[in-house]
Parts: sequence; structure tokens; C-alpha cells
Amino acid sequence: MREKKSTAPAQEGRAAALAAFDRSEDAAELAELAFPGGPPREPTRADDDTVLGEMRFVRGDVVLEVWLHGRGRLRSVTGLVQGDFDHALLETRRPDRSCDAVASVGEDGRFALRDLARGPLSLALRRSGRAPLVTEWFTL
Amino acid sequence: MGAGLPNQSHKGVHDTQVPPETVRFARQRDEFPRSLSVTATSGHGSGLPEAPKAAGPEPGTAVPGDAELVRRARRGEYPAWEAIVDRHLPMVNAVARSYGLAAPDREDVVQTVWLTLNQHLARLRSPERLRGWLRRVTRDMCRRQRERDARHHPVDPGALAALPRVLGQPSPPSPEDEYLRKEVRDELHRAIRRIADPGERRAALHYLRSRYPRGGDSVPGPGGDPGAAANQRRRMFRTLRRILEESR
Repeated sequence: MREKKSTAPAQEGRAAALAAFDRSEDAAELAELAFPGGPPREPTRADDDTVLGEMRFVRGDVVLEVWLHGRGRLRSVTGLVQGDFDHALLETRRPDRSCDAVASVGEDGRFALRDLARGPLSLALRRSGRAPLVTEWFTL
Repeated sequence: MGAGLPNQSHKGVHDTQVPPETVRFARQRDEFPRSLSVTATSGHGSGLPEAPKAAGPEPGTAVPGDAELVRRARRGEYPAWEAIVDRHLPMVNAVARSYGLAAPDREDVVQTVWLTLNQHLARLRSPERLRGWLRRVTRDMCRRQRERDARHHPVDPGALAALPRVLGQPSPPSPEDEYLRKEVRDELHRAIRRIADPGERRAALHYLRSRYPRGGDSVPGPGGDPGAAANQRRRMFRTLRRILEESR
């Protein structure tokens, strides 16, 4: 995810940028970022689990409310999925197309993905009988 | 709470028509001219450093614009993507550096920008405005990252413990510390009340008040022969230890 500095500053990140090319998901449903919120103004009660930001992704009638948490070096993503579905799984997507966490979306739509490494992240919502819905990429 | 941030959904780029194709490129990946990877930009005028120019295209060879490169990349032509990266990466890096992010965060942001472009490539309605799109996305991501960094400062626990001493200020006791301190003081008081010898009891009370002072406690100096006081203190400790062990 983070490459060694052996290039000129203007060309830093070239390998990662080139590796981002992937046309396999052009047909996927994309939930776009509708509310790129920063950290809340009110401090949280637990200082060791800080809410770093909140975001809202929307695709049709599906809305993903996402909160980013920081605890030391690790990050967590919690949130709420609103939409018309019976059962859904939410999984992480990394730049190397790997998945490092999967969470079941509860009946109330809540989910929690914990102990995630920092770095670029996208979420994929898998609903029974529906095409996967992926969120825009964001930095965790 | 960030509500004033520009919308990241990139509507401005999506709302206009794709211009007619100006330059045709039918070459496949192996035939793609390497010189295109670092040729001039599409001229959107960012005022930021541009990619170093390589030898340039062969005379009579047209340099494809962003719209053409996007169109080819949509078809899965990797060299077109490579040309886009080499054309605009210096600008993206320059914008990211201007936000003063930590190097790892900056690298993550830059990588996320390219992942986002890959994700939106098939949906861009104005690919000829790619440079402006990339600049706006980079700025939005850097701003969000900076807001998160401002909320979350990683601190070395060792440095944190030493901080009050460095500043010359005592660290305020936590409620847990206060409670444990009171427990110790009360148990010592109960043990001292069981000491039979009045001299030892006075020495114990003196020790207790010097170690665990309460509001209004005065701590008189030991006075007298230092050697005798030391012997009395040792006896007092032995007696207190015995009483405390018996009470468990």
C-alpha cells in the first residue's frame, strides 16, 4: 500500500497509481459519497475510541451511514445500512482487491468492522439476489 | 461538521457532454508510444508543476488529449491509464504536499485519488476536464484527512507519562488513584489505633500524616535524637506490618 521512496517527489505513488487500474468493476453499482463529514464537534466520551469522521453513501434507496473510529494504530468502521433487503453482508475492499473484514448487517441495519489497518478502503454491500453495491474509495 | 465541504460526488464533471473524439488511437498496449507517458498536459492551467517532458512524440504524431486517453482506458487499455497517471501524478502529488499531511497519510490520499478515478472512469461525462476533476478530488480528500488528523493525535505513552515532569507540573490524580489512596490511609489508621505503645502510636501517626496528609493536617518535624527516631520508626513498621497481616 505504501511504496518505498526511491523516486522523485513528483513521481511518488506511481506504482500504486498504476496498480489502481481495474476495469472489472465498471458494471458494479456505485454508492456515491453524499456527505463527506469531518469529525463531530462534540467530543466522544471515550477518548481512546475517537470518532474521526462520518460519511454517507447513497445509491438509489440504499443509504450507508458510516462512522470512522480510531483506536491507537487500528481503525474501525461502524454504521447503519438503510434499504429494502432481508439479509446483507458488508465486506471491506482494499487496493489489492483483498478483503480483510466481513460483517453481517443486523436486522436494525447496524454493522461494525473492527481492527482494520489504515489505508484506502471501500465497502461492498452484498445482498441476497442483488448485485453487489460498492462505495467510493475513502482513506481510513 | 464538514457539511460545507464540496460534494465528492463529482457532479460537475458528470453534467456535460463528452466532446467529439479529436485524435484516434487504435494501437494496442505493446504498440503504445512510451513517450506519451510523460508528455505535456491537457492545458487546464493549474499553475502547479507539470510532469517532466520526455523526448516528445514523433513528428507528425498527435498527442492524445485527456478525453482520448480516458476513452481508451475505459476500453481496458493499460497504456492509456499509464499515460494519464504520468501526465497528472505530479499535479496530484503537489496538491497533496501543499496540505502538509504526514507522508504515510499523503501516500494513502494519493492512492485513494487514483482508485477513485479508476472507479469513476466509466462514469466521467467530461473527460476533457479530467485535470480539474483530479485536482478537486485531491483537495477534498486532503481536507478530510487533515480534519481527521486534527482530531486524532497519536502520542507515545512514555512521552505522555513524562509530560507533567517536563512541564514542572504534577499530574492531577485520577479518581481511581484518589480512592486507592483513601483506602490505604483508612486501613493504616485502623492499624495504628491497635498499637499499644503510645510512643510507637505517635510515630506511626506522624509517618501517616507525612505520607498521606489530609486537609488541615500539620506535620511536625521528628526532632530529638535521629538514631533513636530511626529505631522507633523500624519498630513501628514491624508492629504495623504484623497488625496488618493479622487483620487479613
